[in-house]
This record gives sequence, structure tokens and C-alpha cells, in this order.
Amino acid sequence: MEIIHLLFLAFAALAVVAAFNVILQRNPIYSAIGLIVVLCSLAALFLTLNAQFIAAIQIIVYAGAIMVLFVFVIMLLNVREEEARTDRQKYLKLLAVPLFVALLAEVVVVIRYVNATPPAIPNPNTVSDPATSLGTVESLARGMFTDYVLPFEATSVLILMAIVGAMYLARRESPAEVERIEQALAADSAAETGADGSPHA
Amino acid sequence: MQLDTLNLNYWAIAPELIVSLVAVVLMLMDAFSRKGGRQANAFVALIGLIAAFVAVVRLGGLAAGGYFGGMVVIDPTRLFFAAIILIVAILAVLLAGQFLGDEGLPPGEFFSLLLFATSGMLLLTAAGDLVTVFLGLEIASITTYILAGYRRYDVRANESSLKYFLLGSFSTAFMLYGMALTYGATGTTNIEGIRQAIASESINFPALLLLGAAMMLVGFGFKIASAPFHLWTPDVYEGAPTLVTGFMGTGPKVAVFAAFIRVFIGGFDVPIAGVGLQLHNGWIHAVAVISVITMTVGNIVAISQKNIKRLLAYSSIAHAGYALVGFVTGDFAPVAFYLLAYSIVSVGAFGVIQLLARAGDQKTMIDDYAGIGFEAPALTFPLAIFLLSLAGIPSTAGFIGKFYVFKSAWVTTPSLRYLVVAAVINSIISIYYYLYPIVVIFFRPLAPGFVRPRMQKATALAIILTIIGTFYLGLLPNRLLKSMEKGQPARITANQPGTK
Amino acid sequence: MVPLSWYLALSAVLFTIGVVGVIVQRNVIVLFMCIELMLNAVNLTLVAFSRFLGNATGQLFVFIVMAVAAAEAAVGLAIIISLFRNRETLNVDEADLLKL
Repeated sequence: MEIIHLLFLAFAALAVVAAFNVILQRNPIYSAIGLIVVLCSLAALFLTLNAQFIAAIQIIVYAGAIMVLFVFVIMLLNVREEEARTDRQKYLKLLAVPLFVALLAEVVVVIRYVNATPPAIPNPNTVSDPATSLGTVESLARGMFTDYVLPFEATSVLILMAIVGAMYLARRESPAEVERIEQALAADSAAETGADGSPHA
Repeated sequence: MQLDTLNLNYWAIAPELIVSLVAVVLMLMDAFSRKGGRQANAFVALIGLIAAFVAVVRLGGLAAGGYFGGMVVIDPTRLFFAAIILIVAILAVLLAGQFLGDEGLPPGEFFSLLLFATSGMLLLTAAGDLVTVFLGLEIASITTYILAGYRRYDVRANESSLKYFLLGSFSTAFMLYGMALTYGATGTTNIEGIRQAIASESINFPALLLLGAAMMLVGFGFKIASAPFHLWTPDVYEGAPTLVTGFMGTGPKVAVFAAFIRVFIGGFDVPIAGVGLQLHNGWIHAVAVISVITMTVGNIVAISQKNIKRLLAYSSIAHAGYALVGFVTGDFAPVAFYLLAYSIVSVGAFGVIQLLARAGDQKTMIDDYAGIGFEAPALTFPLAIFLLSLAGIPSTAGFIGKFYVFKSAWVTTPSLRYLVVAAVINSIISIYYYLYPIVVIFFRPLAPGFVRPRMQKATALAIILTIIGTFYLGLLPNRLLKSMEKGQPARITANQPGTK
Repeated sequence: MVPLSWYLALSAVLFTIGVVGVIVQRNVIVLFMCIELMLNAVNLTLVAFSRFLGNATGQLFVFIVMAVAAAEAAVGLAIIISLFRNRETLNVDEADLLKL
């Protein structure tokens, strides 16, 4: 058992415990913190997998931007703790033992089966040119701007659309907008009760 | 990878480029214009969509195969499905003016989002790689979540948007997991590459390939609202604004079918001995079972519905089941034709209901429409025709669609004939709930105080176009069917499930 | 070297915990966090395969998935805010206006 195995087990255990925390906590802020711990332990695991850039991005984007957004929204909406235990929570207790057995079974099956025929593992650390070794910014950039140039540009369309949509849904209604909607709805119901000019249909 | 081997040809993505560019132009128009830009927005959007349609037709002139490093492909499946999506988008733009005008909602964002959704759907039909499938799917889906909640003041729309969002994200996670496992088993995310890996039997972990395909099937099943993944779909359809329901029940579904065809028939379906055969038999039987359950559940539950939008939601679930029959039996021309017939009729029906339900979707119960049959014939006659087409009455597009699908299924796959039998029985059962609104509309006494809704010219044009389409496909389908058959993409080859 | 199966087992466990969370949770925001947990499990699978196949494709795919997850989070939270404006609760069980 080398150091790397111990590190893996430590971070994996941390991730699993934090994941349970996410689904079991009553206060949403504690769930958010649990998710942040999961993200950070996954970032550590990415480092063991020669994915240095992805690990950094995980911390910066996922834990640093997305989770911050979550915490902002929880604070903004002033979400309180859940009220006293209801049937859902009892549900969860019933689910606990079968879930635990299923998780254990998954681990055993995957380890037994996938171990059966491992292919040869190429070792990127023996290569001297960073552009060809896995996980460096150069190799990712090379792939991103040649093979993956179309998905890259399509992602920009996605982000633009998400910005437009999120701003539309979350913005406060201006008085002009409220008035326009009310006028339109009033005009329609006035037409309906028989006061309109020239019905087409 | 050198740049010159990537086949970077901008004409290959011309439709998507045009639609995205026009969407951005619409955003700029909205930023710089004064109030009341609705007509101008609709006009520019229409021009953009028609230009994209021309671009799709021109794609036929390019060599078939992969472009941009295999990320997009050009093949007949893409051409036909992209055409269907653009037709749906054009109809939606025509009908949107009515929706936005009646309710006073801001038009700029709506048309931009509509066009972004269309570009996502076009990308999805063009996808040649799992990454592009994922991206196209997400662009189309996220935009539709936003559109479902466009009527911000209405709680039902908010709830519909939320449920659609949760359902959609959940299913995306399943599909992604399937993609990850497939990548691990085959070493590539390119669909053509996956096919070659299976064919040359160089799969790293066969069990992971089967599991990955199963999870992708679950993901796709959620997206086309097949049973047993359909649970929140009727709620979503009921709460969203009627026009958006019409759009989301047709456009994204058609695009997902195209990707489904390309991934499963084009990628996974290599029936050689070993994993290939297991996969082939496995997914065909799974989809056949899903198809039967979907049809049956959709039809049975639709019988008890009293809300017209929920009724049409369950009916669209059933129609996904019928389309899957065509899919499983390996002929794509029928699936494409069926979806075209279904989309045109569905958008038309929701366009009419949008008017009947009045601004804000106040009147969506079938009983609200009692007796209005001869008071508003320009609306109710088309609605009756659309309902009859959905039921599959002869001389309508729906009949030809069903006939073509059932006939080809019966002929090409003898071992799956039970699907056709189930589908015919279900079609007969469905006639009841399609006739019920027609009976209520025409043969019940009229409640006092009904006033005909005011219809805009664009709406009238859209309804006329859909009626023409319904009868054209129902009475003169041969030209279209011949051209679809000529460009037939790969069928399921030789081995029928269970015979080898 | 840590075997591939360990990483796959961990990601399967995280994915399952996420699925259970989605089914059981009543708070909409925590439900969405469980979906994010599922997406992260997928990211781990992709990066693990990328390492063991020597292929950068997995890492590139993860890059795209992260960008999409960010956009989805923004839209999802906007939808939740929009819903919250009209109803003062975040309890999924009470989002039942649409059931007949």
C-alpha cells in the first residue's frame, strides 16, 4: 500500500461522507458546504490522475463560482432550516439499509469486474515535451483549438443564451412592464365580455 | 491533429451559424430600438429561419461525412430532421406574435431565445460526436426551460419551468454518465469511432459498454418523454404558456430522435458476435418494451383527462411510443415522416388552443369550449382536423404517418410484429379521447358570453399553413416519401434480434 | 498506481448518492445540489478514463461539462428565484398546483 493509495482512500472517504452530508442535512447552507468539500476532494483526486488543469478549474469555477452562486441564492431567498421531520424523512430511514447494501454491492462489482482485464497504462510522466503529456495546459489547449473547436464555440452560444435567460427570469419587474402586462390582460378580458370592436375569427 | 485534416468547412454548419447570428442580431435590435419592436423582431426571425432552411437544402450538395474533426456530420438524417425543426420554428415564430401581443410580454428576449433553441436543436441533429450531442441537447433544453417560465407572473408557468428544469438536468446527468462509460469502453467519443471499435472488437471493458448504452438509453428515454420516464411531463406541458408547450413538445423531441438514431443505429448497432450482438439485441428489446409501455400508458391515462393541454400532453407521450415502433424496426424514412406529420399538426393544435384559452391561459378545460363549434369556425374546424389527424383518420397526415410506420414495421421485422399489433390497438383506443373534445365543441349547448378571440394575421397564416401541410401530407405524400427513401441512411443490418 | 476500478467505484457511489438525494429531497436548492453531485461523479469517471487511456478527450469533455454546468446553475437558480417571487416556499411538495 503506497502513499498514493492512502491519499486516494482519504479523499474518497472524505468525498463520500460529505456527499451523505449534502443529502442528509436539514439546513441548506450545511448541504452547500458539504458539496464544496466534495468538490475539493474531487479536485485532489484529479491531481492524482494527472489532470492538473482540470483540478485547478474545478476549484476556481465549480467551488469558487458555482457554489458561491448557490450560497448567494440561499442567502437571498432566506431559506430556513426544514421544519420538523415529515414522512419524507421517514422514507429516508427506510431507504438507508437497502441503499447502503446497494452502494457496497456497486463497489464490489466494479472492483471485481473492471479489474479483470486492465489495458496497459501509458505513463505520461516519461515524456519531456509538455504539449504531448496528459493534463498540461498545452495539451488541453492543443486539443481544444483543433479537434474541439466546434464544441468550444457552441459553448459560447450556450453561455450567451444562459445569460439572457437568467437575466430575464430573475430581474425585478419594472413598473412599465407591469403596467403593459396588466393593460394587455385587461384588454383581452374586456374583449371577452363583449366590448370589442371587430372580432376576426 | 493538424488543422488541414479537420475538414473545417463553414458551409457544413451554415444553418446553425445563420440561426445563432440572427438570434444575436435580434438581441441587438431589442437593445437599440424603441418600444413595440414585435413585428420587426418576428420579421427578422422569419428571414433568418428561411435562410437557414435554404442552407439546409444546400447541405445536400456537400459531401456526406464528418466535418470539424468529426464533430458534425452531413447525412440524409440530418437534412430531413433539420428541415422538420426549421418548419416547427417558423410556425412558432408566426404564432408568437399573438402570444406576446395578447399578454404584453417583452418580445426581444423571446425571439432570441426561440432562435437559440432552434440552433441548439440543429446542432443536435448534426452531431457526429457525443460531445456535440451533449452540447446541442443542453442548448436546446436550457433555452426551453427558460421559455417555459416566460410568463413570469404566473405560478403555473414557474412551476412548469422548475419541474422541466429538474427533470431535464436529472436526465442529462444519466446520459452523461452513459457517455463517460462508453468513452471508457471504446476510447473515443466520436460516434463513427465507436462503431469501428465495436466492429473491430477492440473494446476495453465490454460490461461498461453495455452499461453505458443502457444509461444513455435512460437519458434519451427521459428526453422524449417515454414511459416510465414521463411522470412530470404532463405537469410541464400544462403549466407552460400554450405556444411554448407546442414548441417544446415537437422541436426538442424531433431533435432528440435524430440524435437517438445517430447514436444507437449509427454508433452502437454492430451486430457481430460478442459485445456487438449483445448490445444489438439488448437495446432493441429494451426500446420495444419501452415503446409498448409508452403507447399504452399515454393512451390509457389520456382517456380520463379533462384539461385540453394535459390531454395533448399524454397524447404526445403516446405518439413518442408510435415513433419508437418505427425506430426499432430499422426504417428511418417512416420515423422522419411520422414526426413531420406529428409536429405540424401539434404546433397547429396548440396555436389554436392558444387563442381559445385566451390571454394567460385562463380557459384550458375542455368543458370551457362547450358549443363554440359554429361560433368560431375558423378556429374550431382546424382544431377538429388536427385532432382527427392525431387520431390517424384517413386523408390526414397522421393516417399516412401511422400507415407507413406500421407497414414498414410489419414487413421488415417479423419478430417484432407484436409492436404493430399493440400500436394499432392503441390507435383505436385513442380515437375516443380525440373525439371527445370535438363532441364537446360541436355538440354541446353553448354557454352564454362567448366572444370570438381576435386573431392576428400571422396566426391566421400559421393555421392555414398547418392545415395545408396536414392535407398535403395526407393526400399527396408520395413525392416526399420517395425522396426520403432515396436518401435512406443506414438501416439495421442483417441480424434480426433473437434469430442468431 | 491506484487501480482504475477504485475511481470508477467511487464515482458510482457518488452518482448513486446524488440520485437518492434527488428522489428524497424536498428543498429545491438542495435537490439541484444533488444533481450537481451527479455531474461531478461523471467528471471523475471521465478524468479517470482519460488517464487510463492516455487520451486527452476525457479531460476536454470535462472542460465542456463544467462550462455547461455553470450555465445550467445560473439558469436553474434564476428559475428558482422566479418561482420564489410568486410563492414564498422552496418546498417541492408544495409545487402541486399542476396536479389534478
